[in-house]
Amino acid sequence: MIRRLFRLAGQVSYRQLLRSPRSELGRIIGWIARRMGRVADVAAHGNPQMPVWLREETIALAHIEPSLLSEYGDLRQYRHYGVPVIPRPGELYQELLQKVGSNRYSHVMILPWLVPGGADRGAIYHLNAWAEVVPAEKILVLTTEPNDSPWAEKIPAGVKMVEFGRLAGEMNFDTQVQLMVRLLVQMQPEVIHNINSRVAWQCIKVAGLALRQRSALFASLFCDDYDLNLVPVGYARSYLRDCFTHMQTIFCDNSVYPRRWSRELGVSESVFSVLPFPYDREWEERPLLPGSASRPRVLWAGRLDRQKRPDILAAIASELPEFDFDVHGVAVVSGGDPALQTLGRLANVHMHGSFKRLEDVVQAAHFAYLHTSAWEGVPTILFDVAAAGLPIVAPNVGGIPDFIEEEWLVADYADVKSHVAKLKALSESPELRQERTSAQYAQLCNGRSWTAFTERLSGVARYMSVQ
Amino acid sequence: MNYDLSAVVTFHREGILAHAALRSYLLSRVCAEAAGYKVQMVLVLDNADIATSSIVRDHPDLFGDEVIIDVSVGDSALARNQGVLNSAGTFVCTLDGDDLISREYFWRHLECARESSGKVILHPELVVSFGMYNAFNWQIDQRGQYYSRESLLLVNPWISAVFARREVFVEIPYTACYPGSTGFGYEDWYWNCETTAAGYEHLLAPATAYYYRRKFSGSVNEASKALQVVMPPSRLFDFQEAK
Repeated sequence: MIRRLFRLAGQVSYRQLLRSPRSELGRIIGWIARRMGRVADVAAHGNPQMPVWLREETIALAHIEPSLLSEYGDLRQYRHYGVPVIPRPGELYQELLQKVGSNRYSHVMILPWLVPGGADRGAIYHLNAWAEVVPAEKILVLTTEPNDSPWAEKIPAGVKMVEFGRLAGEMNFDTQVQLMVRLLVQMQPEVIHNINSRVAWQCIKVAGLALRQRSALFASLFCDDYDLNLVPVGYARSYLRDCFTHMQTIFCDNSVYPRRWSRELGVSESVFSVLPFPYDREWEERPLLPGSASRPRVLWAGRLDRQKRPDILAAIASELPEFDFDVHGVAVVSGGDPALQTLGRLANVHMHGSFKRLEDVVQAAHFAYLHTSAWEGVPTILFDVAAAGLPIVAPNVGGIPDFIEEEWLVADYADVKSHVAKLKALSESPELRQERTSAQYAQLCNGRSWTAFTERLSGVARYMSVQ
Repeated sequence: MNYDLSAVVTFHREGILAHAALRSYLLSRVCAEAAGYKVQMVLVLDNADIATSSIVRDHPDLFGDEVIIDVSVGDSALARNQGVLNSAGTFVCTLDGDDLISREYFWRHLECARESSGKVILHPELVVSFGMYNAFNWQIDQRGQYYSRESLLLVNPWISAVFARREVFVEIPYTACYPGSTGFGYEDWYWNCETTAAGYEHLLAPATAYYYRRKFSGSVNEASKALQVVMPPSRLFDFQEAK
């Protein structure tokens, strides 16, 4: 009994339980049901013995093949084996086919979900680019996590999205991968593009050779994450070495990480294509924001998580009691994070909660936007900030230097004093603010138009072609 | 000459293990012919090494009328197809060059086929695995309670030894997969799926057993698992098949 409890405990992914309790509980119940099914199977079949005729036949054939008998000259080594009957994945596959339909898809994009975020914004850009040259009914989006996709409304009209993760989520990870591999093998699309789907990465790892016989495989990677020991982790670290030989092209929105992955992992740099995301919103240069007549105000907006270093934000705010900080965003780190408590205690920090668009939270009173972060790709929020005409103070991490000149960036993301100095300098000098916003406007014009984006994609072999 | 059955046996590099296999298969031929059936043996040497080739050609139990062909296709699926092309039986069964069968294997399959109607493919009722792994199992009858068409997605319920009318193998030949260069594999499983999609029923021939040698190394199935190959696209899992 204790051993069974341990086996049950071993089945639980506690991380997934916290992240998505409903799906994980469903998976555990599915596992228990399968175990019960196996018990019922044994109970129904008993423990069959070898039929008498087969015993006699085996002994007779031992004249020809001595190894049919045990070393004692009998048949004691033979145990009954039941051919497994596992219909549920096949049933789910049929349901999946019903949802996917009979269209011959040429372009398939696989995502974990579609939620507000940089990678998801990138996915929408790619889908829009496809939709300009590929008939919408030939494009399919598969989401692999059993979560809501509020940004599904942003996919181009006529493009079908199938929530694979909701359907297959009851299966264990390996079975989900088998189902996805079978679906892709059967569909034989010309293009498969994976953006941050773990299921899709595993498919490429275990069946990349087969998949690439008929489909060109693409992926997007942006940057590494870092664990508590600051060891780089993430899909690039977990999958690149096994998968890169199967990939037609891996898109990266910055020039920094392809070099890093090539140097640190040994993967060929030629598999990467640096693809700056476009800034596709309407914008025009506007006069410098006047800033506050009384106390200078700084804007900070983003996810309050470990990556964005709220502790550094708090330290900067502590050093600048003469400035007010408007902080927009929700905490995705655990509630007990001391940095959040510090932020909450600081009289000059104003916590505003979640926001939808940067334009909603920029005020004329702001003189600067502060971006704190320990690692990044190229955060697309910086494009919004630049378009809003607000000078940016940010560290030199990840792909940020692709958008802001290195000389202006804070060299060390943990260097509080340098952040403080740049904010003070901006506060004191309208000329500097003007210089910075002009440089930012120029960068928005520098290869970040929609046309530049689609032209780059058109130059990527097999990505935009339709047979 | 008209044969009731052509037994297509493929050999590669089985070496001395081919000796026992051929003794067993020829014993089953004797048994079937005693019951009045005519059995043709088609022995396909596919890139066979010298040892295997000598053992087959010089086997003491040969009748002398066996069809022995040398091919260089380097693939068990294509080798079987070559055997079928060189066969003349109303029925064909496929066998591997290092396994054994129950003595009445051919006779009972032929009897079962005579009593079956429709589009039918037969498999031995029982499989005895021996060698590295020792076990016995009943195979799954498509008309039985344990059959699940959906299960074919993840499980191949039948071993490679099959028995069917010759035209089935002509209509749906085996497909070479070249797993090392394509990532596709499991040509037997694939053939089972394709024939199922084409409407054939896979049934069991009662009181027949296939002795499946589980080798410690060099097994095609083990190699396929190691390569993590997948079955090629099959009509069984196509959109038209959605119910």
